[in-house]
Amino acid sequence: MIHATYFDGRSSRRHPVTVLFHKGVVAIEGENLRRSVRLRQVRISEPLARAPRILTLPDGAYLESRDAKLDKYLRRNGYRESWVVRWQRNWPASLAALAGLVLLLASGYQWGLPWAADELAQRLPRTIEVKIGEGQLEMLDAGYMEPSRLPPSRQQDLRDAFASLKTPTGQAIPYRLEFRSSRIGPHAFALPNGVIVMTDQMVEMAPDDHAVLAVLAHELGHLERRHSLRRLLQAAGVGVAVNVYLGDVSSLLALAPAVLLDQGYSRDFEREADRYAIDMMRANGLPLSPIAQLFERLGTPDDDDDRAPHSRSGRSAVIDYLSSHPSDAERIATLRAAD
Amino acid sequence: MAEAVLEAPSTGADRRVETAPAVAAYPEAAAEGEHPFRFTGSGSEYFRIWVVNLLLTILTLGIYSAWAKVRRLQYFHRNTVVAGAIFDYHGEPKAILKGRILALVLLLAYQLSTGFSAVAGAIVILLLAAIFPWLLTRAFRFKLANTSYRGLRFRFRGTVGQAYRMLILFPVLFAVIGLFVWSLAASFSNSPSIGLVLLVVLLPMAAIATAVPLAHYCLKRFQHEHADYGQTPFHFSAQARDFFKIYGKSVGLVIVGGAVAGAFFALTAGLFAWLEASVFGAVFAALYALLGLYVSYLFVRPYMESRMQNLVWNHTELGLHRFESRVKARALLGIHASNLILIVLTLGLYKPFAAVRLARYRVQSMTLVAGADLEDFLADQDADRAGALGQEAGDLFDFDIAL
Repeated sequence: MIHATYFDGRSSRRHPVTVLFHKGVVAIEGENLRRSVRLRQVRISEPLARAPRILTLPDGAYLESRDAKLDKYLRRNGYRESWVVRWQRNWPASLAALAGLVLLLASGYQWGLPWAADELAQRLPRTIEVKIGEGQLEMLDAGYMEPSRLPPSRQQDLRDAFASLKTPTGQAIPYRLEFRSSRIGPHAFALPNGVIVMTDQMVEMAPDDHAVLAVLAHELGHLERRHSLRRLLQAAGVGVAVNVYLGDVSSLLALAPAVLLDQGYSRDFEREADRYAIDMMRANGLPLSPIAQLFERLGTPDDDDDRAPHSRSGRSAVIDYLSSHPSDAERIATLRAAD
Repeated sequence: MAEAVLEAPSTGADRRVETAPAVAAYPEAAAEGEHPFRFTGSGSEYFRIWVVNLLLTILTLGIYSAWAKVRRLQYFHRNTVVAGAIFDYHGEPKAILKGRILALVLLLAYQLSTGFSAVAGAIVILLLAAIFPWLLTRAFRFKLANTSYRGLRFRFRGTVGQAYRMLILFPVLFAVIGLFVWSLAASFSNSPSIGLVLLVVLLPMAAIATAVPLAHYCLKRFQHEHADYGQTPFHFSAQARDFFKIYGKSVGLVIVGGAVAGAFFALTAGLFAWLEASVFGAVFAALYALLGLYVSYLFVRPYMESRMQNLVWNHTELGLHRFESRVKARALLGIHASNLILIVLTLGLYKPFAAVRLARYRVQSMTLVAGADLEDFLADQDADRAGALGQEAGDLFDFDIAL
C-alpha cells in the first residue's frame, strides 16, 4: 500500500488516498472515493529524484505520489521503465552517452560533414557556383583590386605556360586566369565560378615562373575539388550544429567555435591543394624548389581569404591551430620532401 | 481554514463536514495566504536527461528533438512546486515534431528564396511577418493547453483575429512615419535646415523607441489577459508606461555601460596597440569589440529580465489570487555571468547545470498570494478543447515567451 494524492481532473482539490497494487490492478481508496483500474491502462510518468510520479488514469484523473515504495510495487506488477528512462537514471550509461556524443561529433566533423558536403556539392547545379563566384569577384574588384599593371604580353605568356601544363589526372578543368594589382599584396584566389585571380605582387615576388605555375596549380587544385562550395556548405553545417548546441546560451559565444572549426576545414583544403600542386608539377617534370622558396619569402603564401600578409615564420603549433592555413614550415617541408 | 465544500463525485445529498479530513491531511495546505514557489530539480539529474536527449537527437537526425523537448519541459514543470502541488506538461511530441518540420520548411523556403533573388526573399519575409500573429497565437495556445496544475489545464482564449488587430498597428505606424520622413527628405534635399535634418533623423528613432516597449506591452497583455486556469481567468493590470520606464532605464544602462567600456579601452590602449601589432592583431581587435558589446549586454540583460518578470507577475491576478515576483538584477547577473564562464570552461557541458540554476532562482523568486482556498478551482467545461488543441502542430518557432 502506498500514499498518494488523487486529482479528479474536474477541480483543483487534492484527495488523499491509499493505493493498492495487486495482480496488475490499481485500487484507489479515499474519502468518498473508491475505484480500481488495470495498471496497463495507466500512464506512468518517469521517476525523478525529487518530483512525484504521476499515474494518469484513462479518464484524465490522476495520482501523484512521492512514496518511495511505489517503484517497487510497479515493478512487481510487471511495469518496466522505458529504456530511455533507465538510461537517463544510470550514471555510467549517461557518461557512456556523453562519450558516444563526443565520438559522434568528432567523427561527424572529421568525416561525416565533409562527405555530406562533397555529395551535395556534386548534386548542386553549376549555376550556384557561378553566381557565388561572380559576386565574390565583383566584391574584390570593388574593394581591393585594380587592373593589372603587368604588360599584356607577360600576362599572355603566363597564361600560355599554365595552359600548356597537363593536370595530374589528365582531365582538363575549365578555368579563367585573371591578373589584378592589389594593395593586399601577393595573393592568389580560386573563385567557385572557375576564375583564378593572381595579384601582380605575387608574380613579382616569385623567384621564377615555375613558382607562379605552382601557385596556379594549387589554385587549380581548389577548383578541381570544388573547395569553395564545399567549404561554404561545411561552414553552414558547422554553424548549424554549433548554434543548436550553444545558440540558446549566446549566439555570439557560438561564433568562436564555429570559426575555429571552419579554420580546421580550411587547413585540410589547403593541404589537399598543395598535394595537387605537387602532383601537377611532377607530372610536368617541373621543379618544386621555386615555390618552396616563394613560401619562404612570403611568410604567408597564396591565399583564398587571408588578409594582410604578416611575417609568420616560426609559428608554434598552437597558433597554427587558429590559422586558416597549415604552417609555412610544414608546407615548405612537404614541398622539399616532394622535390 | 477552508469552508469550501467538497463537490463529492458520488454522494451529493449527504454533505457532512467532509472537507475537514481532506484539508487536515495537508498541513502545508492550500489555504489563503502566501505560497512561495519552489524548484526541486538538480543539475546532476538534469545533466543525464540532457546528454541522453542530445545523443538521441543527433542519432535520429533531429527527429527525437520533439521527444527531448517534452522530457525537458516535463522535468522543469514537475519540479516546480507551489502550495503543495506540482505543474505538469502534456505536449504531444508528434505535434511538436509536425510544428518543427513546418518551421524547417519555412526557414528553407526563406534561405532558398534569398539565394534565388532579393525580391523572392523579401516576399517570403513579408509572408512570414503576415502569418506571425497566427504563429504567435498558436504557440500561446499550445503551450497553455498543455500545461496543468492540480489536474486542471491552463487555456489561452486569445484569437488569431485579436492578434492581428493588436499587431497591425506597428507596420501601419512605421509605414506612415517612413512615408512622412521620406517625403520630407525628398522635397527639401537641396538646402536642408538643421531642424529638418534633426526631424528626419529623430522621428524614425522616436518611432522605434515607442514601438518596441509598446509591442512588448501589447504581447504581454495579450498573453496574460486571455489566459485561464480551468474556468478562472487571469487578469493583467500593468500599464504601458511601466514598460516604457524599464526600456528607458535599460537604454540608460547601455549608455553607462558604453562609457565604462570606453574608459576601459582608453586605459588599455597601450596594451591594445601592442597586441594589435602582433601576429593576431585582427583577432584581438575583433575580440575587443565583441568583449565591449558583451559587457554592456551582460549588464543590461539581467536588468531587463528581472524588471520584466517582476513587472509582469506583480501585475497578474488569477481570480482572487495574485503573484509576487522579486527577482534581483544583481543576483541574476551573478548567475548569468558565472554560468557563462563555466559553460565556456567546460565546453558546454555545464549547460544543464546552468539551466537548473537559472530556473531555480527565477522560480523561487515567485510567490503565490492566495486570496482564497486553492482547492476550489474548477475545470473548464469543454475540456475536450484542450485535448484537441494539444494535437495540433505545436509551437512552430519554439517561441519562449515564458515569464
